[in-house]
Amino acid sequence: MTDLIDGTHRLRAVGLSKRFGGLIAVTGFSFDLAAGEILGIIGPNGAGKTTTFNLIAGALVPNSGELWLGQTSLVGLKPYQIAELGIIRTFQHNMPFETLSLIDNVMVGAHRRIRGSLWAVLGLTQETREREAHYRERARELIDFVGLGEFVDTKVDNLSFGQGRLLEVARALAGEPEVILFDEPAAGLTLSETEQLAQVIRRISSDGISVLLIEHDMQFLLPLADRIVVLDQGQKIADGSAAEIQANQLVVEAYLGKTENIVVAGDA
Amino acid sequence: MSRVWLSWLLGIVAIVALSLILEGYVGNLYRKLLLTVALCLSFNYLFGISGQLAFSHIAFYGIGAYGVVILTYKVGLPLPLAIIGAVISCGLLSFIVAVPATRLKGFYLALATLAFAQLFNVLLLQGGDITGGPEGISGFSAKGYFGVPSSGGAYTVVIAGILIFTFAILLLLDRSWFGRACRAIRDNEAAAEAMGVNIFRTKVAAFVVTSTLSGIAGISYAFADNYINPTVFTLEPLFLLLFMIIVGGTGRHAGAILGAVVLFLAPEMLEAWIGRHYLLGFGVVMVLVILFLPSGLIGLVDRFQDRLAAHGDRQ
Repeated sequence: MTDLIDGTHRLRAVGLSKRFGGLIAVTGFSFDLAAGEILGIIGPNGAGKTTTFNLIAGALVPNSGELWLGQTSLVGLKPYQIAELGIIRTFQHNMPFETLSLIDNVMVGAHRRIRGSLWAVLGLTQETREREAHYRERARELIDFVGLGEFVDTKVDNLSFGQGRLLEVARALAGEPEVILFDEPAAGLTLSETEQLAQVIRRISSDGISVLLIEHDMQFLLPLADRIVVLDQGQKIADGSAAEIQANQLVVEAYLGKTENIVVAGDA
Repeated sequence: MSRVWLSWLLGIVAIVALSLILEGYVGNLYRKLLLTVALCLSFNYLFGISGQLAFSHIAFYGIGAYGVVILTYKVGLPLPLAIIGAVISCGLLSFIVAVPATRLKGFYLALATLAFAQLFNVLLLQGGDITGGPEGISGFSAKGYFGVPSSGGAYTVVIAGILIFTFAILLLLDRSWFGRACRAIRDNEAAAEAMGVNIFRTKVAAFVVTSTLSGIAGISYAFADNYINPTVFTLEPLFLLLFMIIVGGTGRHAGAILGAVVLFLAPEMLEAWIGRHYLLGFGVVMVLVILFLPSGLIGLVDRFQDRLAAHGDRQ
């Protein structure tokens, strides 16, 4: 399938399928993600969105189909290997390192950049120290960037839920990823936190990082996403711009029409 | 920065000075205290920082001690070679234990390492001429090597050096990306893996490094008494280490040191009143600490310092 790979697409899924026993979670799902693109994935509960994320991030192995990051096949790689390649995910629930300070949380995000040999740690080499200092400085900037500068050296349990979300965004950015997978990042956020998050995601994509976004909050997603794919019962039923998706009769029937009242509240 | 270095230097000078000053019964007690602190520090890294509840720590202490004695006394290697051999044995054996064991979590890791520790003790008891059985091995000494006598204050300095070496290695690891990765795994394994941390390799490395440090302490222990026997390497001293760490403050070097010092000296002080029942007392103390001081004695020290600082600000 190497003929499918061209320079313009960073992440590509071809005919991705995953079954759990008799249940078909995802079937024949294909999509492309370009550099710096924001791609939204929407669909009703159980449509296979999070399963797709788990397949990309290596937490699940597909029954069939292909996954490519540039020229590298992702199928069969372990989650940490996929993260090392530059695909970083966030989770539906906040998953902070509770006993670490904010800055150390974000520093763990830079693990793939800082990590060296254990001997270098014990030998206190200049290079190890410089790398550490460089990424610590960057971690501070990222914490400022998501608006948590005042908490930088405190423990995570001082944060509200929404602030915890923003910390996860900073942590995901710390390793200078090529692709970020956000699983319902706006869920549970206040209106102002949602706006801040949208701003942050726009800046991320303008820096050339590709963003894959699962979201139920349409007010948040529609203006933000460059393109949207719609999943229903494990299958892609639509793929296009926000306007095209909203005009698509299939999509309205399967998803948008039914959840009209939820859209306004912003916590699907 | 220079003030921090100065306080470290003062600490080292104090530890070494005490090694040279203390003699007789108190000197012997001091050696055992230094060894206990070293063991607590490495076990705290494994259990408190890396989050692996492994019951094999004292077994590796024993492998170091028996290893060096068997290699010198029974095999006939010169001491420097025997020391290297014992260190390598600890590293290799801990790697062999770690590869399957670190794939297990919590309770199951505890069980697997418990089985290993018991197996080791049975081997010591049943080892015939090689291990000396229940009586252990005695009558050896490290005299004549490195110009260091294996008795008196000079040898206590060697043990102090082992403690300082252990602490230095653990501090360097803890303050690097490796220490962060260990703590991240302990806090949330899935999130750590999603950030690119290789869970398996990190856990194995932490297990091997801390177990080998325990073995190195064991090597120096062997020549402290010039007598080793299986009762020193049972599960009882392991639970004692666990008590010390939890009472002192899990996951913090200062907590491990404080816990080791307090619980090591307590039975010496209290023996006149409660006899040999101090372990029972430790159990009660540990339950109380878990209930009322979840961050251990070091948490109390923190609060006291905070209050002092706040008081200072007001004046």
